[in-house]
Amino acid sequence: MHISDGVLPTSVAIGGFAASVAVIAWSARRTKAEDFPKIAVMTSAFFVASLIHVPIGPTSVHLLIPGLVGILLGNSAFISIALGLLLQSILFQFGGITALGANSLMMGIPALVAGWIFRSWGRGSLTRYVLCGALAGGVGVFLAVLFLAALLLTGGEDFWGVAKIAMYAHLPVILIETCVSGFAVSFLYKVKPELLGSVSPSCSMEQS
Amino acid sequence: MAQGLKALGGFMVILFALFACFIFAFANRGLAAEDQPAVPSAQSVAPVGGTATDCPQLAEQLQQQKNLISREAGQLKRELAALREDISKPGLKEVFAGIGYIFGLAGIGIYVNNRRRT
Repeated sequence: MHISDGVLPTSVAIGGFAASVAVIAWSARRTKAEDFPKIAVMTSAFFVASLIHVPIGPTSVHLLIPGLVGILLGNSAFISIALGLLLQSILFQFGGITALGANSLMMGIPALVAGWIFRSWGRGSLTRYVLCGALAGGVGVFLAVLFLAALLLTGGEDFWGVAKIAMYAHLPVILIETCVSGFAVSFLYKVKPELLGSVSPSCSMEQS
Repeated sequence: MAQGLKALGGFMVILFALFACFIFAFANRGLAAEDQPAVPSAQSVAPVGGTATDCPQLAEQLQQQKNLISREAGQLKRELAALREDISKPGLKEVFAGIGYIFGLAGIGIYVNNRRRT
């Protein structure tokens, strides 16, 4: 899910850049230096995940994992997504350079929302963690599709038409990401709960 | 005797001329026959010759050929599109380049941060 060059009007592209720079600055201020390695790992995962194609019928879709990035990085997720998208557009020619700001907003804001969902509701038992993780993973892609439709609306497309097509195409992705996020959270909860951020020390002590 | 020889000579000249004419005619026919199959590959369908009755056959032959060529061109175009898609796909090189960039940037970030702290 990337917007190519020349699809968006210039004003929207520039506005997207301005908004994403602002969010990057905000996100960078919230980032602690100890998190750099974690951010790097998640950025690499996000960068590579778009190459994992899942064949669905005649076409294929690829994983997006904004939800998982949001879950693990919280407020720093936006930096990670923006950097990942920049490298994807340079190296893979996914999406255009001029639409990079809009693309970052499209994938980064859902990641932040997914992170907030997980941080605010995911606490307590394993089941609750997994459910919140799965929900955050699904919501990440869902919001990204809505953002895509909203951005294409400014390019003169019909919002509901685009939203419907994109939603049908990404329904499998939403399902797959829901499962992937749920499993990832359950695995991390058992193996390395401090990665999930809001896990209380007592909880991780019980586990170990 | 001399008259007889003259008559023989004249006869031979005529014979030679006739022979030359035949050869020329045959050679021309052979050339024409060779010319035609250079165009169609399914030449066996139509007989050689340029009379008016062959015109529809010739048209049909041309049509067949056109179909064949356009089919082959379509195949080539499809193959070209597939090849182009294959080439535009990112390979292992790009993946590792990207991961390298990301870790490198993280390393710079950590380095700058540590310098500032000390």
